[in-house]
Amino acid sequence: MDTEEKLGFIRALDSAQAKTDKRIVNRTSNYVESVRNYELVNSFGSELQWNEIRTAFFASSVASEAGKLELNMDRKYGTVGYELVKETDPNEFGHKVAKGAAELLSAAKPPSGFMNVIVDPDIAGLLAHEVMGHASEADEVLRQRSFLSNAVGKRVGSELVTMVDDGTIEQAWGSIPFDAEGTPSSRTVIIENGVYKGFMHSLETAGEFHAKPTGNGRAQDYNRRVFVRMTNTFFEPQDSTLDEIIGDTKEGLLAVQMMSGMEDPVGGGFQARVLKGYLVKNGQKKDLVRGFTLTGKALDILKTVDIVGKDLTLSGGTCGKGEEDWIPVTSGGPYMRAKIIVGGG
Amino acid sequence: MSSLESLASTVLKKAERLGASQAEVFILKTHGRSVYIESSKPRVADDKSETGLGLKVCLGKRVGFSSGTVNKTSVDEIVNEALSIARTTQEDPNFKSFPGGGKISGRLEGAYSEETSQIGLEEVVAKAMDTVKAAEKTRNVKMPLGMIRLADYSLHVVNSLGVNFSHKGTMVFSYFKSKAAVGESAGEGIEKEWSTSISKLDFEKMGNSIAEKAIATMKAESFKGEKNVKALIVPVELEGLLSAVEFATSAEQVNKKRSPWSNQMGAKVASDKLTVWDDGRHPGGIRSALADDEGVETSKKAIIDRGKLQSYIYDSYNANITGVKATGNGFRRGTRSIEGAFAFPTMCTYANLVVKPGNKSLDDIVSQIDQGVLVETFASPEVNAITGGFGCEVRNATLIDDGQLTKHVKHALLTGNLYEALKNVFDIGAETKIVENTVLPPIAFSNVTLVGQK
Repeated sequence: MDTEEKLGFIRALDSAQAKTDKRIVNRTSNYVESVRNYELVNSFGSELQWNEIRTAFFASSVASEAGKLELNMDRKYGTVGYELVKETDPNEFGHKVAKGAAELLSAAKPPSGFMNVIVDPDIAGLLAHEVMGHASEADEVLRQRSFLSNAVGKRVGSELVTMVDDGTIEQAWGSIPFDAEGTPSSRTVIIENGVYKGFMHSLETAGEFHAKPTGNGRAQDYNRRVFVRMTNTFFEPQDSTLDEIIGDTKEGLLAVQMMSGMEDPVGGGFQARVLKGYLVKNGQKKDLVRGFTLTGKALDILKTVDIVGKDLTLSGGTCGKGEEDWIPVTSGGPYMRAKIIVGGG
Repeated sequence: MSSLESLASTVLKKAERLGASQAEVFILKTHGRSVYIESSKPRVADDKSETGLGLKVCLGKRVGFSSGTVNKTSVDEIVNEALSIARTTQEDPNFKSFPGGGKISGRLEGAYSEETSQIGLEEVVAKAMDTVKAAEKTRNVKMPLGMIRLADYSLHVVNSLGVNFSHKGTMVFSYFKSKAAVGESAGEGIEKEWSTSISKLDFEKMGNSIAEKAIATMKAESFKGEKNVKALIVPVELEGLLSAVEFATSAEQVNKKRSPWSNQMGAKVASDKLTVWDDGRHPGGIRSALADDEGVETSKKAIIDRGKLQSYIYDSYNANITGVKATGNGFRRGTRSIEGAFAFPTMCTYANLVVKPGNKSLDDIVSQIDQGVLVETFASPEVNAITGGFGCEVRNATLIDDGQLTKHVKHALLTGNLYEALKNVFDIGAETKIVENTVLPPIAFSNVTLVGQK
């Protein structure tokens, strides 16, 4: 694929944003591709060669009116080549991003307090990854840093909650054929119908736990330490549509698109910065509200999950162990409703 | 001529000979050592050396960048690739030139420590274990995770317009996490320290402090309800919030019209109490050097003076767009590790963001707060820098009632708008701390909200 075509895609993303609304004062459109070639030989007899091809693009718009600024953004990531771009209409994608920024200029202040929150797949994924996922990395358990150390076999969520880490999903950004120790990636069930099942392992932790390695020994680079890391981590879908979830909500908040979050394997706390949301009243989606933050204890949140959507969506990103050692991962889930603390508009 | 200077000169000539209108060569030689502590014991140690090259070329207004570690074949590949990228890239109408060379004068203190450069891994392990032992003297506290990473490095920048700058430095970053547990209750303590000299870090004190934090977090109760409060925030958590100041005063964001302070020069953007400098030569500052990573001379300049916006920061690219002189704010170097910095093009960012300290101790400030909270640990102190909105999960804080620290709380959000909060700064502490590339005292804000469960 020649560079000119890739540049053409980025220009189309930019132009669509520019055309959408005259209040858009800044646009950013990025395209990133990478090919990493791996060779691994170890004393267990592995002699492996593979490559990982990743492609991603990202668009953000800033809208301004009367001295007020608002940001909206969207992105697509995949362990795949230029096909990711070919299946996207840049005009539609760019237009949607810019329209979102302009709409936020007239968004209301979000509510605060403890309430019913319908989280979108992006935010559901953050909960899966940052809290339940990091605390299910066996090296954290080994170091006694996980609030889930003694949770195997216990109920940690409502029956609607099933969560897995699966490094084998085709084209997902967090997928890997082998981990950094040469173990093939696999599917690990972490929570099944609300009951906690177990941990993800590297060779080292599998040895300590007398368990099977799960292909989760990953490193940022050749010069970094291997830790137990996630791949694609998500809640499994159930059977409700988003309309049914909203229709079933008397009063609450629909939270849309996460901006960032932070792990807490020791305390089990959850923090998600959310880009925007909608008030929900008497089963109807109402006013758009500005960005806010969700927080609470993960187990309290999961135990209050009372309705789960039917469509699984995965979002790519990067994950640090603590605050560094960055690797590509995916997280996601369906729309889910739970009781969560909201603040910070 | 040093070996780095000689290599830089060779690459520059090669790029120019092959057609570059201008070229900029950045060479970085690093020697890093890391020690990881896991479950209270040293688990992994490493010692690694690397020399890398970042090359930026322009063909008129077409700019190309390439990088790689250095060996005989890679230098040719990097030069050819940078030129190839420049040929295929669209013209950048905003690009004018790399920075011109000029005399760089002045003195620099505390950027390089011979002791840090020479220290062996065994000694680093011993220092890490000082922290572990000190922390674990406290009952019910363990140290599941810790890390010390240090490096000595030399860099050299040359360009076609006469820039020719060398710098030698050292940096240390340490990061420890302790855990206190009794029955089902658990709490985590976190300590992060930055320095250019390992002898300036007190590893035993770090251990004592992190044990106290873990115990406090374990004992903390979930905060209930919602309260308008005054918040006193310690430097290590403040740094993330003040990233909004860095964003708003970056010429890159101003030029892109993303900064909320784009048309605010001279305006009141903060309380009279707040003065902020960018000081490229702050003694012991993590990024301190006589010039930035483009070879432009650094200085100390007021960004906010008693609440009024005085200046933006400029790398050469953004200075050319605005038509002003670059302020020595083009950096590649990170603040937690130096390895691999050659692979990044320069970004418009602070050398060292320094907040002018006040004259009160933390206790004195606490004693003057009627209803408030002393925040010691956020999950992740982040701000939406475009809107200023923040809502940070509190992992360890102490409520303040009538000037007294009362009970520890967690599972709450501290919320507000950072740009408004800057106008509500009512006190600033005397004692500063280096956090990443900032030098910060504790700062007290009024009119923020603490939100917990019902």
